[in-house]
Amino acid sequence: MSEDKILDNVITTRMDKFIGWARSYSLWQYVFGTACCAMEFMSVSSSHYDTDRFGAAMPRYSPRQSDMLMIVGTITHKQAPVLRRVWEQMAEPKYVVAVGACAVSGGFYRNYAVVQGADRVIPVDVYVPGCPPRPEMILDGIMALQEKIRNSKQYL
Amino acid sequence: MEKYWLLKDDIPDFFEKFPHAGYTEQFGQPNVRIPKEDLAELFDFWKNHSKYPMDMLLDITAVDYLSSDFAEKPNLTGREEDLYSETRFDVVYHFYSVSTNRRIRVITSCGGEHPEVLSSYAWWKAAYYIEREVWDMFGIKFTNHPELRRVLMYEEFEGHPLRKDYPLMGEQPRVKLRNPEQEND
Repeated sequence: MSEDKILDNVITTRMDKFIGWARSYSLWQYVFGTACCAMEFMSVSSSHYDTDRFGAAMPRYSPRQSDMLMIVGTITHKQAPVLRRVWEQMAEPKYVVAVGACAVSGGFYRNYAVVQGADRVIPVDVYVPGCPPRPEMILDGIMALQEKIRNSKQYL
Repeated sequence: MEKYWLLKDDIPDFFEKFPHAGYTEQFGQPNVRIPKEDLAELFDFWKNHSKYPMDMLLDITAVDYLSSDFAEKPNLTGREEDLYSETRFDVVYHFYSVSTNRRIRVITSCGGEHPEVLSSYAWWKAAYYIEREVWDMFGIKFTNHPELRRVLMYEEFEGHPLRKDYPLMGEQPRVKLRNPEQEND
């Protein structure tokens, strides 16, 4: 085989980039929907806005089968240990997206019951603000997460 | 317009039996006010009323009148000593008579360092969760309740959030993670 033919058929890349590319288009999400943002999320994940286009089509119903945690809604103090437990059950590598003002910062609930942001309980990769966010904003958040996955060091 | 509420003219037998009961009317709805010592008698009366048997307890809630300018509580102005005023809280009962489609609202006052009223659980089983909620939010103790513990907030929570003296943006430390192996329920 001549050298020209090899160059036509072989792509060279870095390991991190290749795995990151694969992982970014195979997001299995666990939707931790607790409030009204979850209603918005339903339209995002179904056919009209269609997260399948970004390789994040399948909401799983067990955290052990998923690698992307979507926190969609208000996190109360009573619920915080549950969220933490769900996050701990997920297998590595795992990513967290906080959707909506409440999950980002507590939103307009500045009171005795609500945790002031999901990042007080677990680390968050992408914040999507809005009350609730537009579907386009959630899709933008997913794309931002993909960008982050593609450009980060991949541990095997 | 169809009638839903029992007004003063509908229940002369009530005012015969409770001559000291207060009565006001707002928006065509009755407010019957009685001292909390009469509660047991009142529960008996409405549960077994001959014409309008109140077979359903719709709701129990409470109102904290600390630092209010409400006309019926002119003595409460949010001073330190008002925290333990005997009339600080109102407990509000709504009863419903399913068979005759009539409602009645009963209000009673309580207060002091440990406010408590009689539980209506012995008359209406629906009071179980409602009274637990009032205890959780206002710290009003219902005597003779079978299991008076918090229902909305978690066990580690300190204080009662709907009281007027609970800090407006008061936050408490995060709940500790529980070990599922050590949990009983």
